[in-house]
Amino acid sequence: MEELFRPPNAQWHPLSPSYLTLKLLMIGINWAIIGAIIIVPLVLLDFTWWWAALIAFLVFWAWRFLRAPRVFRRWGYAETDDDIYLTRGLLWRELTCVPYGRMQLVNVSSGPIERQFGLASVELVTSSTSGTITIPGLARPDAIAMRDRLIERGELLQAGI
Amino acid sequence: MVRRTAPAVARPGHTEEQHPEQTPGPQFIAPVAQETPQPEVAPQPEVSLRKEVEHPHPLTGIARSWIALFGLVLVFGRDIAERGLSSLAEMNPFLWVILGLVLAVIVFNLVWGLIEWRTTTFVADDEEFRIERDFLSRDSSRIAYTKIQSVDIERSLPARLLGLSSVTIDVGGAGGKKLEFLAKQRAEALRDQLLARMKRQADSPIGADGEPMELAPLPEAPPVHTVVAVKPITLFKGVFVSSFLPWLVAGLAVLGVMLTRGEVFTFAALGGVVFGIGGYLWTQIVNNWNFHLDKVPDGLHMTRGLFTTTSQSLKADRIQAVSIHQDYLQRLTGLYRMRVTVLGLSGGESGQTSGMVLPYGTLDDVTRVLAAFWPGIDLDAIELHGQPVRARWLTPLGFRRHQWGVDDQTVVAHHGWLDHTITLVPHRRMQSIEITQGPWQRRLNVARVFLHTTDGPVSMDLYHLDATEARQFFDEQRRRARIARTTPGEPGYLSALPAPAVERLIPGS
Repeated sequence: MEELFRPPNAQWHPLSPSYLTLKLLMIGINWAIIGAIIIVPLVLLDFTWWWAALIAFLVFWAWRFLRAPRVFRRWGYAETDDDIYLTRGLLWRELTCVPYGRMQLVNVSSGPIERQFGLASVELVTSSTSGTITIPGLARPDAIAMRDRLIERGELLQAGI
Repeated sequence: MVRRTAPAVARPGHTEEQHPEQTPGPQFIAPVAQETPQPEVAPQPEVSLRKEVEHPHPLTGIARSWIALFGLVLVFGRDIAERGLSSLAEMNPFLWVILGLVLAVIVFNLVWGLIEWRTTTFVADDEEFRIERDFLSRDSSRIAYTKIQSVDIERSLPARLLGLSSVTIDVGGAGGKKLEFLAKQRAEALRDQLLARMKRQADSPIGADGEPMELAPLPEAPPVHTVVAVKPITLFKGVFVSSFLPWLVAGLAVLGVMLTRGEVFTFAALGGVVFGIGGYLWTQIVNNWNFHLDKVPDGLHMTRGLFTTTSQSLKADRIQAVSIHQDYLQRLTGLYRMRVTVLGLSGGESGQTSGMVLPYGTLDDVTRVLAAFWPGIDLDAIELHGQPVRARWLTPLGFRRHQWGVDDQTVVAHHGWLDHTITLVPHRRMQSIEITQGPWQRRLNVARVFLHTTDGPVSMDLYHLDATEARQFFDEQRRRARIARTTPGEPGYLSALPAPAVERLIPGS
């Protein structure tokens, strides 16, 4: 990873590999539905170039599939003594740093599909809504362990507003 | 006379159990430990530390029903004035019904006001601040002094005519209370008492020997020092010579065209112009009339308003970030507008005017206001850095203006092309920090740094910094913020506040 988004300590922790599987599955399902909604009316209305639209859609779909592992590799988090860092994004890259002392609330949640894969996401709420970060795709025991670690450190370093 | 208050049993955190000490004599109220309604006692003469029960002002009912009265006068007064009382007999039945309804509303409000007067009581003394309502259902609200975030005084026009004020106590979230109406002096004294007690309780709730400290009697009228006052001429200059002017001109032109050439006249357009332009003018001029910011020992008071005057209390340590703005036409008059992100004011009722600490003022006024709540911050002494030249590709217009600087207390950023915005965030108030880089920025090797503060009208955004500089700033700012957060003995205006009443899994200060 480039210099601008280098980790604060040795390296970024990756998310759980099942998250990539989950993402690929969701791309398969979601875009299939969207594709059907776009292409089927074109076919029914006897639009002459419907097969060109279908090919364009298939190419786009393949691109999403091929892109997914690279996006997945861009996710990372790191914990230091004072803060927690999160980096994400392929085209639009981000790096956020949330100090332990600023966390108001730590939430662990799993949607229905995430639960099938044994994943959970950890949400750190601060008093700034734009500063609230969510770390998705952690194995559930890891997520719970992280929450407990964060709460412990937050208690020590709680700095009010 | 100062009465020594009860031992540590009745400290904050302790709920409705009253202190066991029962001072003899028929003048004191029995403490409310039981559910039986307490006997009504006439308000005592003003001795500040004795537990006394007070009522709102008896004229509350009149102040409440002013809208109905006003409407009534408006609708029927003109008729009566023109044709005398005999016209009443000639009105058709429909109008009689309306008249009856309005009179019913007025009477209802009067009666309700009287009931509130009789059944609402409040106690404001050393241990507690409690408001009780006793009509149909009993409602007893006790507000801990340390939870009070601000106390505002509002005086609508009829209230001013009657010499009354309403007091709104904000505890940051649900649970705020409004006391309507008190006599003007009592309202102001109550506000001063609440703010003073809030500060004392925050500073030193328990004395060295485990007993609550004996507090000196509160000053009668704390000295007031006006930091800045906006004169009407400044207000008019600020409102009219601003980005509003083109809209005003366009609106008047539309009106002119509609009036002179009858066929393009529509009510919708007329309504749009009148309400749009008139509404803006109304909120800016009427709400900001006679704006002045006063410094009192316990903080700052902002007072404004033409018909309804509101007086909001503001404490320096609640201010999270400051934004000073001047739009392109205001550069001609040299006026600035100053906004702050304040805990507890982000969602104010008056919308645009909340969080505004200086509606229109010169740079001199701005400096004075800054010095009033952040003494020691000198904008001119901060060294400013600009953007790298290649950032011109991305923001050609704002390039020259965008500069940023850091000193040991704050980060400052300048933005804008025709207009000019200065944003200030103290290191202590930074919540989290973020770097972002889009694909075009990556091509030019620049990045954007966001400093997050609590939600409000101010946001701090340093864009298109050279990538290495951005990362360096990110790391250093992180470190500066950590040091600022954990340093004891910092200036009072940067002291730590307890976190707002969000459900917290992390108990702490």
